[in-house]
Amino acid sequence: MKNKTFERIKKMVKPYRKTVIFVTILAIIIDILALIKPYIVKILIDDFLKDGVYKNEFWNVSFIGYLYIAIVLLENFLDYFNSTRTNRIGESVVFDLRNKMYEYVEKANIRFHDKIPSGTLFVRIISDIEDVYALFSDVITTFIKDIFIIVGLLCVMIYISYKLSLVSLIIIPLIIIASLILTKLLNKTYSAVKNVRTKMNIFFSESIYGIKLIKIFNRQKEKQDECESITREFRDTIKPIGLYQGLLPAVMTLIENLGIAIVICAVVNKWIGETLDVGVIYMFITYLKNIFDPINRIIDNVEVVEEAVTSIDKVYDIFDKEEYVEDFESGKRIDKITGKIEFKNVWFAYEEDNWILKNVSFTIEPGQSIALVGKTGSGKTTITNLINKFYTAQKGEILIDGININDINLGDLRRNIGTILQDPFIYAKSIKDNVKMFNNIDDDKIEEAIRLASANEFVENQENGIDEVARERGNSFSAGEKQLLAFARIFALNPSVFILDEATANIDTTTEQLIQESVDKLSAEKTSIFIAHRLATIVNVDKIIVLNNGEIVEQGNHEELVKTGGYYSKLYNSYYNSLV
Amino acid sequence: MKEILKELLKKHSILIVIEMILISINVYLLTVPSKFLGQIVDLLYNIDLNKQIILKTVVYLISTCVLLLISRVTWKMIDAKISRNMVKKFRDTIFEKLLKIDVATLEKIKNGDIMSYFVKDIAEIRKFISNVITLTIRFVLNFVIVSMAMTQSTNTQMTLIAICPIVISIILIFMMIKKIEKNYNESRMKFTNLSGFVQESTDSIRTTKAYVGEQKQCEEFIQKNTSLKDTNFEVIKNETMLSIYMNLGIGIGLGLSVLFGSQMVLNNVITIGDFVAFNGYMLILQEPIRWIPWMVKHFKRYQVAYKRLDDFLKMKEEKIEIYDYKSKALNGDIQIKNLSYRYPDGKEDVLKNINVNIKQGKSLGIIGVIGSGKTTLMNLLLKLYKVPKNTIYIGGEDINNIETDTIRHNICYITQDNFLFSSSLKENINLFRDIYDEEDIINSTKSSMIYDEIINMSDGINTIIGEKGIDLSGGQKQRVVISRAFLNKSNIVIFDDTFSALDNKTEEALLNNIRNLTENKTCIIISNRISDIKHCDEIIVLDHGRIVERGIHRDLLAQKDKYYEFYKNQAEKSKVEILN
Repeated sequence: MKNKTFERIKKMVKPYRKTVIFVTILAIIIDILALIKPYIVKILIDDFLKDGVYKNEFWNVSFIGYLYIAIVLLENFLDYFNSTRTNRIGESVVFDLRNKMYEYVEKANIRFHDKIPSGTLFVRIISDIEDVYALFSDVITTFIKDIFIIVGLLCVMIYISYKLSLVSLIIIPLIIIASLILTKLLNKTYSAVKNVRTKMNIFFSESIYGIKLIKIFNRQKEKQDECESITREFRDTIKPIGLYQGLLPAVMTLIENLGIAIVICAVVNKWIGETLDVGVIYMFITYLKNIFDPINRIIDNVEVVEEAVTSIDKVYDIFDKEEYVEDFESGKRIDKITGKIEFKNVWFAYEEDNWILKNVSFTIEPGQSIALVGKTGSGKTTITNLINKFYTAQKGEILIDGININDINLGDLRRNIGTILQDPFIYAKSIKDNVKMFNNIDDDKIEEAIRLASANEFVENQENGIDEVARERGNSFSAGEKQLLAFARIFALNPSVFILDEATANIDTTTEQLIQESVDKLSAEKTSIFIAHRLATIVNVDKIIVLNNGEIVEQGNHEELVKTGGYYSKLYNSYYNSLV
Repeated sequence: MKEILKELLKKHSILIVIEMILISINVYLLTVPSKFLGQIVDLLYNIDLNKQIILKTVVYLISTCVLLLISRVTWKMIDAKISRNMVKKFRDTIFEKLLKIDVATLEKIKNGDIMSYFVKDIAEIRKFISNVITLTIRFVLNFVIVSMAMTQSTNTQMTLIAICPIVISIILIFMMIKKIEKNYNESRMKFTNLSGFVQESTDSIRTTKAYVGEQKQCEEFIQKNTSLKDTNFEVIKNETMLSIYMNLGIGIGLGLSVLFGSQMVLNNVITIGDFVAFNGYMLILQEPIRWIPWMVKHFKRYQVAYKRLDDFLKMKEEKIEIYDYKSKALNGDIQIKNLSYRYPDGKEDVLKNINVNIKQGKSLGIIGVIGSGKTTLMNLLLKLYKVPKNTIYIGGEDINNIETDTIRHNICYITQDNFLFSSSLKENINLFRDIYDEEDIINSTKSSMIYDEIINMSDGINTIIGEKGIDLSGGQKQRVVISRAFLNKSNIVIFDDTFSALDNKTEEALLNNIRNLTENKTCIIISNRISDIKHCDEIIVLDHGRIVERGIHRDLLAQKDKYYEFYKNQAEKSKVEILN
């Protein structure tokens, strides 16, 4: 285990230090009790049964029986606390870690999210962390106990007779070798099975997906044949697993009895040069039998530990970096901005030196509407991403209300900017919560916002109206309806700046009209920035900024730009001509 | 379902009988080492006298273990053979059902559900057959054989006393399982809920940030996570109790046998060896008890899986002969008369009074927005849904009177989703039917304008694509799919929105090739692009299931109605493409 990982584990467990000490002590006591039990039977055999006496000066036979039962009860009583507490440590560690990871993901900046796909984050928070749980609950619970019991057993056995121990303990390497060989064989088959299983699952899922195609082209027979050949391959690959699984316990029983045979032969042939009482021999054999389970468990757990260590590293490698965490604390607090936006010689690159914006300068006065026009990749969206500070420009200055954007409190800045994306995200929450968007807004205002966004008709048509819970990703709503809800959000939020990435497709004409109404209402009173896809929008704005390869090639209003006869006028004319 | 199981049991009846015998032998052999050990203990009191017998018994002990190993491995191998054959049979049967099932029925089942028939449900059935059943048999046999051995070494009364706590613990375990199951389901539900929330959070991060909802999201997460933790604590508590019950049953049983067994030794009813053997038998009972929770859990899952598969296997099938595709050729005249169609559970007609007449050698263009009924019309033509009588005629015959496979054999329907199998390009074009010359396939790729790209791929026409091969672009996929039309020799060819990802130049050339191909065939082109259908002999405009306009391109434009709207819209959109 790497040192770094060990430090990380230590950090995770730190809040539960006391519990760890507690369960360790319990584990030692339980182990000692487990060691005492065969000793009691030994006393019973050697001191009483052998000679046929009911009692001696210390004990009587029944007392020993009751003592045995008492030990069993105590052992289980302690085990209850040991197991529940250890498992709770695992559960709590996972709980803490998940909370920490989630918070990190939420508060990390967009650069972080660009770098790490959401699927990866999901796997880290949800699945990888389960391995960590396994490490704490399964491994550590049994691991502490197992280590102590092995050491205890060895000590006791050596104490009884070190010579007998030396002879009989040659089975320990046998256990380890047999276990390792079989595990290796099993794993080899498992990985072969995994490949065929993947192939088979791909086949099934594609056949399900393409079933109509298969039917349309009458390819049922071909597919049935393919199915049979794949299921046959799978059957033949997986078969040996039964053999190995059958082999392992049987081999262990064999080794166990080999050990017993060695002990008995050693005693009978007087290899050890001393005579032992029958009870002692019986006790020794019992201890020998008891050593199997903990050894096998430890071997099994090696893999769990390896997986957990990899997972811990994977998890921490993502979440250990402070540089991505956004700062919501510092910066000037502004309740309401007026909406003046200035870009002064702004340069920006997502990756080093690959400039997406080159020396961009422009000013938007409060209440003005502007359109960003240009080909895909010309930097339109990047400009809006800089305005709500999803990214920070490398060179130049961005001023909001005359204040450098980096000096404004991040939360305040974003609360004052309302953005509508082409495909707005709808949470699997009620319509109300989707409009509220984490803010405390009362129902009247929400309904008002929904009305202003012309979404009232669609909302009223829902079974539960405003309380209708959207399906995941808003799948129960159409693209147009999602857009309307996004507009309702803006009306409810009432920001000073309004950014719209115009949707181009998948919206029917009626909804499109409703959306246009909302756009007109919003742009009339707020600083509005459009990423324009439609000429209709462009014609009406106060200023058009034409971008090409990250540079502003032209700016001005529609008439001015058409008059100058540049890039924009060519575009406009070709459109105009096609209509005539 | 029942029939399959019966058939499988019948087919493997001899193997099953052998397996049962082997299991019985195995369970019996498990008790033998304890018996030998007991005998040895008795003999150890006089080592010198009994040396030979002891060594002989040791040899017996080891031989027993070898026999145990052999019987166990053979039994496991037979078990693997039976259960794997069963799984194969189930997979094949369910796949065959999938191929036969009626499309309208199929559309009501989620793809994920069908996939889980193959992946999850069949696995449950296997677990039940190969593990739950054999474990139950072993459980019962174990109890019977072990208690017989116990009675033999002591007496009935002693056996009953020792077994009593075990029986009580079994009852307690059964009572506990229900509680745990409930707990566990609750925990699963909360976990799913939490994963859903994480998934949504990572996907929605930009929106959340834009509305400064990070803190609120974190709070909600912690709340969900805490609730999960609490439930898991409950699970831990109950699971620990469960294992304590198991340990107590055996532990107290052992204690009682120490208590009463020692009395019996002292009263000279049994020997010390019998006493030792008795304790050994008790330990054999330990393992089967641990299986109980597992058996109950999987028995329940088996019932669910059985029902799901049984329901699936009872679903309605198409009347189709899947093993014979030598169908006769039909004349390509298509006539649709007063066709109205409503889905079996639909509220209104999706097609209303459709009348179309296309002679072989002519072409029909269909245009209309999403949901206008275009694809439903095609699905009816292919008899994927049940067709109303006397509405659709092919070659002058009502298609209800033509065999389904004959119809599909005579229509080449190229669908809009360009789905390809993870297989070679060749197999994706001939769709796994090996009756076409390589040259024909190559020619078809030339006609579909994909040939130049294919020859540049590593293995040409045999290149593997998809999950385990190379990734094709949307446009490439579309052209591979279209190749099928050029390879197929049917008299009717349908293109359902198959040109959307192609650039103008390719599209034009391709349409030209299609015109050559279908010169003497019936051709239907469904598209929202005017350019795809403007050369058709007849064009129909579908709107809400009704034909609202029909005629040739020039006339429809002149009407300045719906068709003209499409045309105008496209003119605008094509300019928008310049902007983007």
